[in-house]
Amino acid sequence: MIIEFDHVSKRYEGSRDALHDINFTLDRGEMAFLTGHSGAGKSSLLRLIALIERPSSGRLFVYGKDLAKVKPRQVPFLRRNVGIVFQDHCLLNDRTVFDNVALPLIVSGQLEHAEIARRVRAALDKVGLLDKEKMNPQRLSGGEQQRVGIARAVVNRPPLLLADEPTGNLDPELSAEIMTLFQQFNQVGVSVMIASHDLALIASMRTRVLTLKQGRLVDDRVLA
Amino acid sequence: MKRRQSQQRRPSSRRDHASAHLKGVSARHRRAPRAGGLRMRLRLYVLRHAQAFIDSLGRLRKAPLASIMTIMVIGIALALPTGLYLVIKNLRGFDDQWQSATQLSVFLQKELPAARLNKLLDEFKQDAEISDFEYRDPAAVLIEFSQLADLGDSLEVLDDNPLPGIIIVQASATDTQAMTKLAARLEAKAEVDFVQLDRRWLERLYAIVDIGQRAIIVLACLLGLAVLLVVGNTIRLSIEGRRAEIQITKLIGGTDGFIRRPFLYSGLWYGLFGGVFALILINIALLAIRGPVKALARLYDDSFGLLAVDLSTTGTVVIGAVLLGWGGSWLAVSRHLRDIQPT
Ligand SMILES: Nc1ncnc2c1ncn2[C@@H]1O[C@H](COP(=O)(O)OP(=O)(O)OP(=O)(O)O)[C@@H](O)[C@H]1O
Ligand SMILES: [Mg+2]
Repeated sequence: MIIEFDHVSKRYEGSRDALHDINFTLDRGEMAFLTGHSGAGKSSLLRLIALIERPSSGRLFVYGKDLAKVKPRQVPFLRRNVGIVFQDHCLLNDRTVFDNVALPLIVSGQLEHAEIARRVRAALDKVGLLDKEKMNPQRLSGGEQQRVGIARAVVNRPPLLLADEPTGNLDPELSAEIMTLFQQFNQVGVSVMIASHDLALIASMRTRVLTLKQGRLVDDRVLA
Repeated sequence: MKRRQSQQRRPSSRRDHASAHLKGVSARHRRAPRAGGLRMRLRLYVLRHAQAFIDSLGRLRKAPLASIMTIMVIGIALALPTGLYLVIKNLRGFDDQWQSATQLSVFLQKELPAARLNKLLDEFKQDAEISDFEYRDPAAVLIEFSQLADLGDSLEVLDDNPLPGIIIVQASATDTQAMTKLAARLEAKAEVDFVQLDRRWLERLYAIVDIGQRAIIVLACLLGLAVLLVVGNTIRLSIEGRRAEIQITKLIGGTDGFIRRPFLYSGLWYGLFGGVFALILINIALLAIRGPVKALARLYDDSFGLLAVDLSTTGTVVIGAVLLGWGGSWLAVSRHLRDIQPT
């Protein structure tokens, strides 16, 4: 399996457990939604997987690696295998769409320029933004910016894709479009985990749904 | 349903399962077309650094005012000790000239009979440690003395000439030790009253030059520290301004080394430009004092030349500036980059 939570709890300083005794696994090629009310701990859970936070107790495996044993020096290399899509896009506004999407490839520094360009265009093509590569992200619509973020997350072909409220402030039509995009990645073998509280949209997707309530995993099933 | 099965299977073969997946992941990556071979990697490595090098120059241009201010502060801070160093260095060259001209004044006993005087002068002629000498009889000494001291007529009231004859000796050796020894030997002669070693002022000059040199070292250390702090602060501000970018880069797997690189190169550029600016300042200053120095040199038979920034000084300033710039940004980067973590 790609992700394994084994009695994981997370407590931020000076507050109750944001996540409490979480147990679940995500198989390779599986897609799952993570839902729950605001403050339920969705973002916290994704942050643990991306090594932005560390569990307070319990064990967490990603790609079979015990994250407790990952030293700070090794964190970047693990993150390169996890594509992350953020709610607020987190794009660099002083660079073009192309440069934003190319960033993960430049960071890993293992590809020649021609190969980088080829992969960036492939990713942009996938999200339907090939004609906007020279534009500044600020001049794109919210949905387009979100898709740039997705292109950046998938450009180095990570086996796991995490998304935190990727449709947060998009209209229903655009939201469905973005979700379809994630589904397409899942169909080619990428494991996908999406935090969202858009229950109507989730219900229409017929995938596994993990429900958090005040930091506890209270439900884990396929909505039909 | 499939998922439930896998969960049941888990306890028996969890580790095998996990490592199989890890292998799957790395195999997938190995298959992906990426740079293989040492030469290719080396090429990419050099390319990456060259790119960061050029990029960081572009970053400097994005905040021209702040960059120019930083460069000017570095330039002034480095020009000060370097300029003083040049002055002191030339003062040393100057005393080298005078050292070789150092003489001994041998004061003879008063009313020395001519026979003994001639015998003494003969001895001086034979002496290997004396390269040259000149005898001045009491009358000549008196005239010289009255001119020197501007006493004029006042000496005429003296019936007797109170002054002894003097032999001005040019020693073969020029170092203090040999001259002190020669002075002692000459003083031991019966015809000689005492010998004056005219080196006291030279020793004072030495002491002053020595103090000056130490002061310059202290000054250079302090100003070097100032350069470190100035570059460090500029880099700190630029790190703050790029906080979001650093966070994002860390999130998508940028190593500390990757993030550090452009900042370190910025520091290097600051140092380089600051060093060049310092050299420009020094040369302008030297040009400004060229006239007076020339006039002074003429007074001393042109025994010393014009101050000039030589090649080794130029190299030291530039390399030192680059190292200080690099060091300053390294301080800022190692101190502040760790604080910026993705949230
Ligand atoms: N950095 C933090 N420091 C302290 N407490 C935090 C921190 N981040 C989150 N929390 C707390 O942890 C709990 C879970 O927060 P989290 O952001 O994971 O919720 P969420 O499910 O993502 O909510 P939302 O839907 O509003 O994004 C909340 O009570 C929150 O106040
Ligand atoms: Mg959240």
